Amino acid sequence: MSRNLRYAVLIPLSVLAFYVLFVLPDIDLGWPGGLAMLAGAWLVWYLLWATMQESAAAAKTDGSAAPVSPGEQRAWIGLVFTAAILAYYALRSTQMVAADGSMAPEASAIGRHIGMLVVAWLVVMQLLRKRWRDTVEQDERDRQIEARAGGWARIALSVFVIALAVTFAFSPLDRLAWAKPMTISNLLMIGLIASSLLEYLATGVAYWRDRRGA
Amino acid sequence: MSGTPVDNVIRKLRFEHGEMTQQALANACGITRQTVIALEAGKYAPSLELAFRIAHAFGVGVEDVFQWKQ
Repeated sequence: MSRNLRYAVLIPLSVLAFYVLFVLPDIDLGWPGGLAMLAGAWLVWYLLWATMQESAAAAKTDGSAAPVSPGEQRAWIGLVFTAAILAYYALRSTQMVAADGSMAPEASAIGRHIGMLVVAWLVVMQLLRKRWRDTVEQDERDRQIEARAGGWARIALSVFVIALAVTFAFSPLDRLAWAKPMTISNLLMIGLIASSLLEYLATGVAYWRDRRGA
Repeated sequence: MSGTPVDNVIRKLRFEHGEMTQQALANACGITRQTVIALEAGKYAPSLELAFRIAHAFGVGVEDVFQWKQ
């Protein structure tokens, strides 16, 4: 199967696997069904990862195309995982709030799923670090790109926090009924994850723009 | 990163030094190959320290590698 066709099949399947595993309400399929669903999802993600690695290796051998640097790989992978975490968190955050505004019992299961995504991210980064063992992972240009992207993320987070502060300070109390403790907690977490997402996006785009014109 | 006011002849010097590869130059200077590509494309202006490292790798002075665009 050609690489493009594999991408065309695996990318939608990966999104579907994420949707089934994290977004759809939990369905009891019994342990064989649950295990099969989990194994299937991870298999699809692994195949997508393997195809991406194959593309990177081909670009390296070819030599004509500018290769993707460790910093850029780190940025795109970070973007994918933070986007997945943000999407999951945003879609399930309402279920984390109990009727009285405190933490609902479902919150721990949702937290476990987010933890699973973070562990998967750490595993992927560990595997990549092993691969980069003999190469320079980061130099002054990488640090400059990261610092600039960090600046964008800081501005975005500041704007978000100021907007939230202004909303709370100037809204009449009866219009702040939605602002329960757990809702505010979720809102702050979403803002933090979104700023991180923006940082990875700005980093990835900076690398991509440099590579495109090389 | 857009174009910089600093021009360079890194590509020419690589070919004059036994067709040195971008990776070999990157290894000699402790940078990534992608940074060498960005330098050659004029998309990145190096720090003074890196400019000296690159000049040292070719055994020439900094002014022989980098020029201020008029």
